[in-house]
Amino acid sequence: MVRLIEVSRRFGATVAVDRISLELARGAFLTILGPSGCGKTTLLRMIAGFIAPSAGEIVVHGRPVADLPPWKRSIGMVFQRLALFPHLTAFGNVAYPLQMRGFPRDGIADRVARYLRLVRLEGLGGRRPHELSGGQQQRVAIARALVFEPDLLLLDEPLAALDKKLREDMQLEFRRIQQELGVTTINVTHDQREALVMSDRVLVMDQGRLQQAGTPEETYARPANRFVAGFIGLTNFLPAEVVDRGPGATRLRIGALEITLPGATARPAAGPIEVALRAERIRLLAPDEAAEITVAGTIAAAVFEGDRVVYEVGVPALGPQTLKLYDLDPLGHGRRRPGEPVRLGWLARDLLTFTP
Amino acid sequence: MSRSPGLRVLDALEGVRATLWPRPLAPLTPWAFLVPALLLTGLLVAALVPLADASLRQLDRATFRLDESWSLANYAAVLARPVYGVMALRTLGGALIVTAVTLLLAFPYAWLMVRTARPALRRLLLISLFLPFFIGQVVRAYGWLVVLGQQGLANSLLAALGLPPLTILYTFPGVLVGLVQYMLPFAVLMLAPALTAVPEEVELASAGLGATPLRTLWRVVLPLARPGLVAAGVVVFTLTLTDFAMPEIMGGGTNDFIASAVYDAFFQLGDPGLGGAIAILMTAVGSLAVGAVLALFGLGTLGYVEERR
Repeated sequence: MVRLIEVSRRFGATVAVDRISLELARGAFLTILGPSGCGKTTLLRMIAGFIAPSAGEIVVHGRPVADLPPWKRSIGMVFQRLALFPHLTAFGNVAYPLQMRGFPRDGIADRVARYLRLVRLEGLGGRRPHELSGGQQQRVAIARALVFEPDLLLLDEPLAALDKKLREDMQLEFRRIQQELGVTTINVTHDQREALVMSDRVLVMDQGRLQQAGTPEETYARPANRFVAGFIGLTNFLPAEVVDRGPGATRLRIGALEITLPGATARPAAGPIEVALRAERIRLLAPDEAAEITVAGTIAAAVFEGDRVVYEVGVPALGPQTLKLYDLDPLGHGRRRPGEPVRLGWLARDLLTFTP
Repeated sequence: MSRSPGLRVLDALEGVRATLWPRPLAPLTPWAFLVPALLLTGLLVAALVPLADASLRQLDRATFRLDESWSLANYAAVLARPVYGVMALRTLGGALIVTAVTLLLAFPYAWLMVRTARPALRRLLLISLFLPFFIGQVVRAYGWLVVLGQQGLANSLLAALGLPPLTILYTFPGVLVGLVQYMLPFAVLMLAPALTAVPEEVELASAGLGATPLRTLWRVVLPLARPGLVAAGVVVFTLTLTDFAMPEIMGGGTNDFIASAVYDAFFQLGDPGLGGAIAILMTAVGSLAVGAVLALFGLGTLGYVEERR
């Protein structure tokens, strides 16, 4: 189990990491998600031992590691730019941690071969990093980080530099290897899709602070605040006002529209609030189709992305702001042109409310 | 369309270039860039020809003219006189020691300069590095006289501490001290780019994989910095091998290097034949040493052959 207790790091006057606490069960896969500069890499480097925390405690498998230098911790790390040793072969790179950690000499070759097989690099052990493709280099880096069976695996955005197709393949590949070995893993990324695809748990950070921790589903379905709602997914934000707060329901006014939210929705404080609505929760309605909430609008822009069309729709009733929504079957029917009148519908429970 | 004056000047120059060097000549461009360097190197090689020619003619002591016919008499004279052998060994040994000590001192300096996160420290190290270049070799050697002389700063300090005076000046170690100090900035300047090319992440990765700092240095940093080490070593070695001023001033005539013998032969003895022979032998030994180093480590270590990531 990995535990962080109120871990902070200051650089001069700036607080890069501000009292982050987390607990991670053995074998779990956690992704720390946040925009660049949010402190996630600093946090990871503190866990690895490259940066000392200004305050707080880090415990890996029951052992506080604050006073241990990196080479005495049992933590494998895959770096953003991989940091393979260019003067060593793939085999030499993977054997390196075994040599440094004093593994019995005669067992090293077998174990390196086993891990090269695990990452599907059989027969390529003799190549130097520059003779390998980007994806193969990733595999060497992950084999090197895992071969000494560390207590914890850290991934510092190693997939960020890959093109989309390869990145998506490698996300599944990392996940496969992680589950096969059952190694506790902390991944760091700014790619929300990667966080949702790979992780058991997601921790969202912004400006050094913890914004939300939970399963990918929880984080997506019930964002804790406006930042998380905006960072994960394509989300429309609209200014709104609380009109009436009853025991089982809340009446909101969004522009000219009045909506009653079911009582289960977190109740906002009275006064001006913000309402969030995911793009994929809005449906383009057929002429005779009904929905819980319907509004009329005009297409302002349409962007074809292959598997979907992203529409921006102006809805006068909601104010000057346009709504973004997806058409997930763009080849099934004709494309709506800008200027075309449309009707939009969604469910009241899809509205998320935040105090700004 | 409005353009900045700087861009207009560049466009005008581009027009001149296009007239002087039209597109069909483009494949020759790399060679054109090489011309100045080839001329300079060619001049140096050409200068060896009259030198070699003189070295093959004996001086007629009666007329103080060189013989009309070629002979190996000058080379025989150099090899026969033990004083030249001693000097050559002193020069070679000194160059090896200076190279080793300089690299040993320059490496941590360059590493700190490249790796430090403090801009103030990096600036200080850089200024300290370039300051000696503003002060000539002779002035610096004179500075050493002030520090290391019998009544110098060092001995005053030792006397104040009640310790016996130290004789460094006009000794072989004294010459080496002066040479190391002179060579250090050259070595640091050649090592710094090589160390910059070693990403810090690679050092961190090594530590995370279980290597102590010394093991990281030995197994990762030194192998990756090898091109810089070889280049710096070659430069320091050849500069020391041919140095004249430091042994002259710091050694005071007691510890001359081979360049002093060349100087003496030309300007004291007035024997260009003998001087030429010593110079050719020195050039040959130096070239052989550098050739051996490059053969041993391969041209690739200088980064010219192998593709480096």
